Amino acid sequence: MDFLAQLFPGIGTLFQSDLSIAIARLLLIALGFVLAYMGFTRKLEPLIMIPMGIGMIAVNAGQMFLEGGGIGTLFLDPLVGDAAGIIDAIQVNFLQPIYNLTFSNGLIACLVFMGIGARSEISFLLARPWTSITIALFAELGSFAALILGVSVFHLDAGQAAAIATIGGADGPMVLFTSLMLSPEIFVPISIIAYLYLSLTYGGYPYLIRLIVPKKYRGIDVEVYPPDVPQKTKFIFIVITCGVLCLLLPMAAPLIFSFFVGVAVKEAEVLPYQKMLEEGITYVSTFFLGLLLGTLCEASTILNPVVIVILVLGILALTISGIGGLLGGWLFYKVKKGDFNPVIGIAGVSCVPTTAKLAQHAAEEENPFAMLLPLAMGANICGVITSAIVAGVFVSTIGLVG
Amino acid sequence: MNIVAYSGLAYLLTIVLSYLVIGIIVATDRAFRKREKKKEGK
Repeated sequence: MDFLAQLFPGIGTLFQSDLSIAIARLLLIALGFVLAYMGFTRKLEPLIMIPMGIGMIAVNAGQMFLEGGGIGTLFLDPLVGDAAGIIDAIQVNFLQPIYNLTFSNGLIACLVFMGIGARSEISFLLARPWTSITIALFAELGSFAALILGVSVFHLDAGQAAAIATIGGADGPMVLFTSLMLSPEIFVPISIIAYLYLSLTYGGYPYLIRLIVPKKYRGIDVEVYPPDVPQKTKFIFIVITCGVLCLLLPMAAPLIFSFFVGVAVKEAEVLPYQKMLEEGITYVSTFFLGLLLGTLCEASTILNPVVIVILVLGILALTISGIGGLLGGWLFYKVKKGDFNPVIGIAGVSCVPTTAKLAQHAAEEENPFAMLLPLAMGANICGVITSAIVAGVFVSTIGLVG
Repeated sequence: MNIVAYSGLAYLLTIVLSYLVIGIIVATDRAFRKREKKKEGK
């Protein structure tokens, strides 16, 4: 038996570890397969889910006996913290260099955010700027509600609750960055659940729209076109806004800078940089983000009791944010005396461009000529800005909670 | 500070900063439009 365990350590470690760990490993292998397959069939976001699912399978199958009698893998060790340990781990674990250089300091979230910036068209925001930002603020209600629930109902510490609450902002890099800053001990389950839920918004939010906006209102057409803004103007307000936000929220400056430098490169038409961010950095960082999240998903991750709390709070945060956004849409329907489609509210949830597309699809189903995309994209871009601000406010001020 | 008061304060701060950002964007846009109009007038 021992010989077989040595010959096939992946199987041998299943028998030599606790029953709960062995079962969790098998469950994670199965879950990894489901996620990768759902990515393949495009039911979940393939860019994240395929590397993440296969990473989960590989890390939970590829367990082996280490020197000293422990059980581990040749992927990475997230718990190693001292300099000598990191140097040792880098020489053994093949993903350790990427983890230590890009994950533990939030660089990967910033790289993804640069890519998002390079793909963001800020003119949409100027179609109805005050309406868009107000809707985006309504769509942040889930983050603040989840923060209160996390501390008062689930008895989490404020940092953990704030990190989980940012799932309500529906912005993957933001969740990753905030959880690394405020609650590094549980950033793996928070990030995995956040990306899982963000993939599910495409399937879940249409039901929320149908529930809150009756059929006859969903097809309202709002003819608004983004104004023609000169690139010079856009470039200048991008630079000013970046400077002001970094001045006010230095703790979130890396994230704010990353988004605006992406937008600035696009507006300045620095084509080699634009191409690098859009086609290189975005895909490389998203690939490694998915891969590392998958390989960090070991059995001990799902056996942590806080996972249940993250699952419940995360879905509550996203649902309340969706409801908040749609309520913002209704508010503007009333204020503008019917010249506004309440469905646009869902686009305030900053899952770019998914929620904007959802708003357009919901309207198109009732009225094939309805064109909400310019306004929905405006709310979407504002959602990214408000999510970055919420992350900055949480990271900078959470210490005020007594 | 208790969590409800903190959340209220954090939300208020988010609102102020968000409107500040949009204010900057709208003001810059308007300033450039005015300048363009003046140039065209000349």
